[in-house]
Amino acid sequence: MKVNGRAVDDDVEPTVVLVDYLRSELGLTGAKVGCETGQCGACAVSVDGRAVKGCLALVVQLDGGIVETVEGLAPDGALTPLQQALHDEHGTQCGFCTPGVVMAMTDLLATDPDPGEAEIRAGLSGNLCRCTGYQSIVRAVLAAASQGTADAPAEEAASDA
Amino acid sequence: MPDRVLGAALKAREDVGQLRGQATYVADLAPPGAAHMAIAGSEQAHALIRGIDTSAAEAMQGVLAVVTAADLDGVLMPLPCIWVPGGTESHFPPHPYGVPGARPVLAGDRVRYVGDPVAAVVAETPEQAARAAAALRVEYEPLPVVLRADEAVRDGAPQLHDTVPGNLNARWTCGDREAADAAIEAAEVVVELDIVNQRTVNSPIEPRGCVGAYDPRTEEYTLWASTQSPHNHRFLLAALVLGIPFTKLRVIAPTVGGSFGTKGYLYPDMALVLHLAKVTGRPVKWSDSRRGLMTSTVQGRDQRQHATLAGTRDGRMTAVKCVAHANLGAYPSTIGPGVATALMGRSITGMYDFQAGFCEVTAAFTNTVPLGAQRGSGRAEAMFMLERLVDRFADEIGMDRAEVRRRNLVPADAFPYDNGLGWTYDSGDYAAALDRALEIAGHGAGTAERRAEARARGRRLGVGIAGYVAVCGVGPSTRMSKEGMLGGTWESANLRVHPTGEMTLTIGSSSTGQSHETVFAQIIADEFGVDPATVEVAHSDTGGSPYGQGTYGSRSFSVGGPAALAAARTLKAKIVRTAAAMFGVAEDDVVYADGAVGVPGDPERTKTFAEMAMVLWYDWDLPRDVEATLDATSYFDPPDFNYPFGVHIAEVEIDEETGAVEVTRYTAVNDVGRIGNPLVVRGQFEGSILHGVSQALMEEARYGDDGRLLDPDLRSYRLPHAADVPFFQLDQTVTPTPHNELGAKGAGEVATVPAAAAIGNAVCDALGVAHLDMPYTPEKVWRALAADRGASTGKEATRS
Amino acid sequence: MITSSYGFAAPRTAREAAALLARHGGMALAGGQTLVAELATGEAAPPFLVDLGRIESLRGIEPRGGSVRIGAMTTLAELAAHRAVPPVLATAARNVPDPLVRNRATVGGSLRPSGRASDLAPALLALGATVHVTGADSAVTLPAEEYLARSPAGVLSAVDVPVPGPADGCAVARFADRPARPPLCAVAVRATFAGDRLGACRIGVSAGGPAQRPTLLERSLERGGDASPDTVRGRCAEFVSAAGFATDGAASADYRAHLVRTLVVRAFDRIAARRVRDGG
Repeated sequence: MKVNGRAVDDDVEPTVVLVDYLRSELGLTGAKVGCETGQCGACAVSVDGRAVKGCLALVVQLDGGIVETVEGLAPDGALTPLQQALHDEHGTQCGFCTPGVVMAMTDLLATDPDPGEAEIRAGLSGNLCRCTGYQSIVRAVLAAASQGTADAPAEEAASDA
Repeated sequence: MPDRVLGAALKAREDVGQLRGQATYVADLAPPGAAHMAIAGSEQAHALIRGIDTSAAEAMQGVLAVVTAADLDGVLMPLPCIWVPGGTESHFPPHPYGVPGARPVLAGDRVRYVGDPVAAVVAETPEQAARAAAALRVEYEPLPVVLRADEAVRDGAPQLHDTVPGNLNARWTCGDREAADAAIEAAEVVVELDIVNQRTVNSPIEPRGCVGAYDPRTEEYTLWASTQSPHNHRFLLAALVLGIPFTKLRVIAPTVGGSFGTKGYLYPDMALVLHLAKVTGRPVKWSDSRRGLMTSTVQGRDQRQHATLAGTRDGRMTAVKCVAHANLGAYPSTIGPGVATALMGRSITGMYDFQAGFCEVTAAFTNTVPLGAQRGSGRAEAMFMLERLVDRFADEIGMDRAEVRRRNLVPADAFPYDNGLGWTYDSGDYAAALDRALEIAGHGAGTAERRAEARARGRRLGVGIAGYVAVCGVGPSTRMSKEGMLGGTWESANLRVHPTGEMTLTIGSSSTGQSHETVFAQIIADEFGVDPATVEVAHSDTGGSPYGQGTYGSRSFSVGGPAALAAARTLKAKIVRTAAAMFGVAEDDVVYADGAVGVPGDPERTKTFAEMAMVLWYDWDLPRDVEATLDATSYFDPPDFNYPFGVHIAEVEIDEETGAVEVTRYTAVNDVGRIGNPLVVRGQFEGSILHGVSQALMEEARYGDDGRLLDPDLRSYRLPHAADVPFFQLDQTVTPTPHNELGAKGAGEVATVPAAAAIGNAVCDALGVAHLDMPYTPEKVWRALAADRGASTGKEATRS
Repeated sequence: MITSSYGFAAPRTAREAAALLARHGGMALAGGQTLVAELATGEAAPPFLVDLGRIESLRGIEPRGGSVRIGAMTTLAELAAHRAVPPVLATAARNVPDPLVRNRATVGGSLRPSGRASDLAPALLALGATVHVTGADSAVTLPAEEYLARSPAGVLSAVDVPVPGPADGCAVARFADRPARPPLCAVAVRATFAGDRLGACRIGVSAGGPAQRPTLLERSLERGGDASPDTVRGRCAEFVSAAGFATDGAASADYRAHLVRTLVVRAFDRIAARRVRDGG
C-alpha cells in the first residue's frame, strides 16, 4: 500500500489493525487509539480518498490501498485552511481527538464544500471530543467552508503566541 | 499586538503541533528496548484470592516477568490517600507509615471490585503481554457484593476492609444541624427531594498510560505518565510507595489528552512500571485501553441525597439541609474522600443567603470502581440538589422561579460573605449575572406562546434556571489542612530571563488541554511589555524544576498565575533597581514602561528589557548587592479560595411520543474574575457545559448485581456528540477577587457546576413533575410522560 | 488490539470464499465496522477469517429493468450516492450517523445478525429485496426476510431490490437515544396505493435486542383500507405488541414496541405528505 505517498511493502499479521500499524511500524503517531471499538474517531485516517476508522480496518484488507494520515496533509510547517481555521477558533484543547477531527472534516469538506451548521454537527457523528464541547470545531469548519479551499496547503502556520 | 497582552484572544501555541499530529502523548513514546506491561484485573467484584497460577503465563512467548502481590511484599507499599474528610474520625485501609492507605499496588488476599489489579505481566510486545495476562489462573472464593453506599453502612453488609468497620470511611458534617432543623420545623413551607446524582465514567478521550525506566548506575527511576500532577506523584511515589530518596525519581507528563480529574491520582500501574523496569532492566510501557479505562480509572459523582429546603410563603428561603451518602468505591482514591465531603457539603447554599444550613455526608466503600473528582466535583452535586430544591420551592408557593432566586441572592454589598458552612465568598454580584442571563435567554417574554407552539408540534418545552457559586483556586494550605488535605496546596513559578532577552517560565501547574503555555506566557509578556513569543513556558517535568503541585480544582490561573506574576514582578523590581544604579539616579526616577526601563524622556539613560538581561548576565560594574542574572522563583499560597459564579438557563424540547430530549437553547453567564485569554476561557466554558449536559442527558456507570459494568465500552456507554447541542449563548460579568494580584478566579471547570441542574430543571419543567433523576434518557422520560398521563395533573406553578 | 489469532484468506471469488468458510468454519469479513470491534474486544474469536474485499463480483450497482442488483460489498456511502438506488434505501444508508462508518460498512454486513438494530435491513425488507447466497458449490436466492430468519451457509453476494413504482409510497423512520448514535429501532414501509385506498403493504422492522433479527411485520394494514394516521395508529396498537420484542440494557420490550408503533405511524405520515406534495 501507499502511506502519505510512500510505498509500504510488508508482511503483516491479519490481526493487526491499521492505526496500530501506522503508529508502531511507521512511526506515524498522529492517529490515536482512544476506544478500539470505533466510536471516538481519534484513529481516523484516509483510505482510498475517504475518511475511515483506523481501528476498524485490518492492514491485510488494504493491499494496494492508498492511505493518508494527518501528517501527510500539509508540507512541513504549514497548515491546511481547515487546520488554520481550527487554530483561529481554538478548536483543539488537549489535542487527542484533533487529528481524527481534521481527517473527518477534511473529508466532509471534500464531499460537501458548503455545509451548514447542521451538516457539520451531523458530520462529526464519528468523532468524540471531551474538551471543546464541539462549538469551536463547528465554528472552524464553517469558517473553512466559507473560504472554499479546505485542503489546499496554506502558507507558514500563523500563530500569535 | 493588542494593547494588553493579558486578556487578549491570542491563538494558542499548543494548537499547531496538535493540529499536525505532532504532539506527543504517553502512548506515542517509544523508548528503545521498551517492553510492554499488561495488567490482569479481577473478574469478581468481591472475593478472597485462594491462589494465582502464573505458570502458563510465564511460559508464554515473549514474557519477561510476571508479578503478583506476593512479589511486591516489602518492595512496594500501598498507594496513600492524602485527602481525608477533615474534622472527623475516618477509617482507611492500612499503610506501613501510618498515613491513610488507599490501596495495595496489587490485590493480595482479596479483590474488591471487578478490575481490581491482581497481577502484572511484562512481555516483548503488547499482544504477548495481553495474552499472557489472560492466561493467568486466579482461584477466587466469592464473597457477597455491596454496590450502594447506603447499603454498605447497614448492619450485615459485606465488609470490604478489616480496618474500616461498617465500610464507613467517615461521617462528615458542616453547618449547624440544630439551627437547620429548627428553621425547617418552624417554616411555613418545606420541600424535600430524594436525589440520585448518578455515577459516571469520567471519560477523557485519551486513556491513561505510563512508561517506567530505571538506570541501575544512578539508581534513578523515571516515570512518564498521562498525569495532571507530576510533582505530587513524584513525592508520593518516592516517599510512600517505592520508599526511595526524593531525588531518585523523576516524573514527566508529556502532552496529556484530557483529564477532568481522572489523571491526578496515583494508580497501581505507575508503581508497577517503575518496579518492573528495575526487575527486567528494560523500559516498561503500559497503555490502557478504553475498556480497561472503564474500570481502571476513577469514576465520578455518585451521591444519594435527601435534601430539604425551608422558607416562607412569600418567597424567602430560610434553611437548606442535605443528608447524603457518597460512594467512594472499593478503595479511597488519592483525594476521593475529601472531594466527596467538603467540596460538596460546604457548597450547598449556592448563590443564596440562608439563615441556616447543614450537610451530612456518609462516605462509604462498596464493591465498585474507586471514586475520584470529575470536572466540577462536589460543587456540581451540590448545585444540582440546591437548584432543584429552589424550583420545587418556587412551584410550591406559586412564584416565578427567577423571582424566587432574585429575592434570595446574596446581595452585592455583602462580601466577603460567610455562607455558614465554611466558605467565605470573596466577591460577587449575583443579581447582575442573573439579570444578564435572563435577558439573553429571553425569559418571560413569549414563553407561554412558545410552549403552546411546541405543544402543537407534539413537543413539551421546558426552561430551567440554575445559579452557582463554585469554590475554586484550591487552596490555602492551612485551610486545606483543616479540610483534611495531607499536603500543601501552593503553586510555584520560576522565571529566568536569558541573556538574549528570551525567557523561560517553569510552572508547577500541568496542562491537560488548558493551553497553559499560551496563557502563562501572556502573564509574563504583559508584565514586561514584550512579545509573548519570547516567553517559553515549561511544565510537567520534575527534573530540574522547582517544586510544584499540579492542576486541579481550577487553580492554574488563579493560584499558579499569581506565582508567575510575582516572579515577574520580582525581576521587574530588580531591573528597575539595577537601571537606577547604572544611570546614577534614585529608583523613583526610573520608570519601566513599554518593554524598556530608564529615565523618562532620556534616551541615553534608557535600556530595553533584553539589554538589561544582558547587563545582568555580564554582571560588569554592578553594585555588590545586585546579584547576577535575572532568575526568580515564587511560591504562591492563596490567602483563601476564590468563588466564581454564574447563572445558566437551559431550554429543552421533549418529544411527547418518544421521550427524546433536545437542548434547543443554552444561555450561560459566568463570572471568573479577570481572565487571561478569552479564546481559551470560552473553550473551557463550552467544554464544561457539555460535560454537565452530558451527565444530565445520557451518562451513567451502571453496575449489574454481580458488580460488572453493564456498559463496558463506548458502544453502549453514551458520550455526547456535536449533534447533541446547539451553539451556546455565552456572556460574562467580571468581578475580580481580592485574593490574588491578577484578580483571577478559577475557570476551567466552573461551567460544569450548574449545567446538569439547568437541564434537570428544564426537563422537570417540561414534564411538570416534582422531580426526575438523571440521566434523562428517552425511555425514562417516556415513562414519566406516561405516568403523568395516567395520573391526575398536579397544580400548575406560576410560570411565564 | 486483537489478541486472538485466526487463519486468513482473501479469495477472488465468492465460491472460493464459501468453500473456505465451509472448510474452516470462521467468519466472513466485509466492511468490518462491527466485526473488527468484536475481534478487538474478544467477543468474536473465530478460527478463520475470510476477507471478501477482493471479490470483484461482490461490488457494483446495476440497474436491471424493474430492480437494482446491489453487490454485497457495496458500501453505505456508495449506496447513498448512486442514482439507481431507490431513494428510501439511500435514505436508510444515510441514516447511519457516522460518516466514517458509512465509508466502509457494507450492504451485506448490514444483514449480519447482531444484537443491535439495523438502519438498512428494514428498508431492504420493505422493498421486497431478494438475497443471493453463494455456497461452495451451489447458489440460492431467497427473500430477505427468509435469509434473516434462516441465516443459510454461504456468502451473501448480492441483493436484488425491486424499484418502487408510481403507485408505491416508501419511507423509513428511525429512533436513537441520541441523534448521533445507532438506532434503538428502525422501520421502513412500502405501501402500494390504488387511488386513495391501500393495496399491499410491507413494513420492515428492526428493534434490536438479544436474539432479535430484523423482520417483516406479519400482520399489517388491510388491503382496501385507508392509511390515515388514526387508522395506522390503531392497527399498530393491535399487531405490534411488546411480546415481539426483547428487553436488554439498551431498552425494554414495551418501549421498543412503543417506538415501533410510533415509527410506523411517522413513516406513513411521510408517505402521505409526499403524496400530497407530489399530487398523487
